Amino acid sequence: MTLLVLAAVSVVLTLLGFFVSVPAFKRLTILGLSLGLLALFATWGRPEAFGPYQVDGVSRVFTLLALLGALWTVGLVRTRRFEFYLLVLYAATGMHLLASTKHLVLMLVALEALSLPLYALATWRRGAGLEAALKYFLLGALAAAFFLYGTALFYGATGSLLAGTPGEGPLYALAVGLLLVGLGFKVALAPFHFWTPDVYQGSPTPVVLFMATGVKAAAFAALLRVVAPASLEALPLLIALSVLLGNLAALSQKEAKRLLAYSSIAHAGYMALALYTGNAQALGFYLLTYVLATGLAFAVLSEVSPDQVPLESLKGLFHKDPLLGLGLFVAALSLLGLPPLAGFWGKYLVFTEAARAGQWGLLVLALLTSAVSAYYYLGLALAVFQKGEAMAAPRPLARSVAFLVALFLLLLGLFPGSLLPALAAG
Amino acid sequence: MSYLFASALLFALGVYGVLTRRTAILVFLSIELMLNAANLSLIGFARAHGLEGQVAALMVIAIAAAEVAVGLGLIVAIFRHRESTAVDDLSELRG
Repeated sequence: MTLLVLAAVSVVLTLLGFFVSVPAFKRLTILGLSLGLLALFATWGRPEAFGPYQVDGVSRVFTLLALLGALWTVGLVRTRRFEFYLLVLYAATGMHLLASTKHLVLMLVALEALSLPLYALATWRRGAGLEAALKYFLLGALAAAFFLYGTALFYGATGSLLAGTPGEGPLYALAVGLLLVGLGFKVALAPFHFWTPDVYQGSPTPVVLFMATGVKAAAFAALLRVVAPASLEALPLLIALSVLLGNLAALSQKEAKRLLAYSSIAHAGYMALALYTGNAQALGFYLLTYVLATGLAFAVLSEVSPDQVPLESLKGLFHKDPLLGLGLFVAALSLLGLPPLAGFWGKYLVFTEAARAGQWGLLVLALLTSAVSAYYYLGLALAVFQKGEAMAAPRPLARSVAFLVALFLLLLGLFPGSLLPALAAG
Repeated sequence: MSYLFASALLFALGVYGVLTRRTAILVFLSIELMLNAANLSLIGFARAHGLEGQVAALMVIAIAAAEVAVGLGLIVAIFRHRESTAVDDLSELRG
């Protein structure tokens, strides 16, 4: 149902794009994405299946996050070309498909359907954008090739193209390892993270918001289906590298988007902790808090400047615009995982999963690096209160959305139990 | 078994090309080589497991074509911008 709505809206809007004005097209895109959300809610709690396309609880929660990211991106961007909105819509369709299938070939199709529009979106600004896009494209195509070879070996080892089919032997281990490389690239797990800082820094901020929220949500849904049933020996190494590299490299960053890129690598490591037990509820809740907090941070940065944002230029943001300043403050603290905010419960849930799986070494490492991350998150959060000449020309709608999301992060932190059953029912 | 070795060799050649070539087009060509290596093994395995692998290979060809369209467009845009497709020239973003 959701796929039908999203695909139909994409096709119709492709044709309409040549006839309607760009502001009207933007409203139509928002309407289309909302229709997709509506279709998602209308069937909430009832599994749907059509061949290899299967909508279950995991798929619903992760699609919801991806569509929210897409809506936010469309709302934030200022552009005079309608193709931008169309590409976001196509990518959102791909994300929904990636979250809703176990079939490996269909996953590859979905992976490309969400990546190809993003490669084009990353070039939206010429210059630094082109460099970022080429790096993203070449490494992304490489990851897709690894994923495909993993698919072929998986087919050889088990005789099935459905992820989660049990198997054994070196061929099976190699196959799942290659699939992990392909998806690990999309969620920016170290050591497949090299593109992240450059692409986040060089791409337009609304696009980065989309990459950090939608792509992560969709690819983690796929990881849940591919990796969680297979119990890989390489997974602890990936998690350890991600939380170490992400947090340590973020300490020395002077540019806000680059800093958040390294933070996203670290967060991918924390999220992967939930893959041990394959608990979709814990992972879904963590992603919800992460998507809201990192989306809020990028939304504020995009109102400060669509280009690069040195930390210096954030000083004095609170005096210039209290709502935006508070938004960034709350977002950074939630990413850090400070108790009254939602990020704390996300971290608590995935760390509990790691403990249940008996991964004590990883748990200690995650806790230690989480403490290290306080340094740069607090630096980001407190910069807005310092004296300085921040520039910001926010639109009223962007300010009220930032305020609502910040409020929601606080409420979710105070009453986390109110949303968990709904996520589980999905 | 021989088709498996051939496909593994092709894949390894592709990885080698990606690591050593310094031009965006040749890097991309090496990636296409890796995709075709996977196709070869899909078809090879289909001999043992049935038609599904062959159908998958057909889908992959279509995906690869879509990737070429976007990728070459990107490379052309970069060439117009800076008259070079060498990947080493792209080093503005650092930190």
